Amino acid sequence: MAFRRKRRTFHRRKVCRFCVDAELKIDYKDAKTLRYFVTERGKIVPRRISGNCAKHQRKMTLAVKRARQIALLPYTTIHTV
Amino acid sequence: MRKYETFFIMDPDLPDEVTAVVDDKLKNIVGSSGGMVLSYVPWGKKKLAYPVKRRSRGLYVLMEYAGGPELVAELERNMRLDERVLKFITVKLEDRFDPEKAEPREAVTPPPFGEEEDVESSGPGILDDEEGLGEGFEGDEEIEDEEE
Repeated sequence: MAFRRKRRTFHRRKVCRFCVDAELKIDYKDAKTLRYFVTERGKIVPRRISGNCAKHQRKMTLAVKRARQIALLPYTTIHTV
Repeated sequence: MRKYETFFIMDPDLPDEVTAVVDDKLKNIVGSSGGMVLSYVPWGKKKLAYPVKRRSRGLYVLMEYAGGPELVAELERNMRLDERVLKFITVKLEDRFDPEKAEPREAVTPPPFGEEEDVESSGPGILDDEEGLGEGFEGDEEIEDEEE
């Protein structure tokens, strides 16, 4: 552990796209936009990856969960039958 | 008065006249419970993300209306009884809504998705394991260098 490879990767902090663009609205009925924030398996992408700010991540999470309720987004795509 | 929207899925295999009957029925429930329908927009048929009541497609409808909380209870009760409505979700848009003072609504018809027969393609390729993050995402992991 002490001799761990030093990975110094300086990442450009992603800015929250909803903060930058006021036109973008988070809406649970807009599955196309929300699909960008869920993985292929239907999981919600965490903030550190999507680059959302905390406020918009909360709204986004709520929207995804609502979209799942009305079958616009899947709960999961893996089914063990 | 509050402002609500109910987004619901109807059976896609119904003939148009039956769909119209359901439309009128729901609008009447809102009207007779002291509310008013602000907009009623069919969004078209769409493939569902998962089967609902053994159907893989559904006709989405968005209804905006004003009314009290008891109206929502009554509307949802009727939707549950009606087998032609597969699923619904109600969201409160405004806590205080005055239909008289409401600015004349520009006919905002959200882009209904119409007939989507295409295969469900999930968006950008984002893998679940963080080792293989999809393109377009840079992992922002803070890596602490262990100084011995």
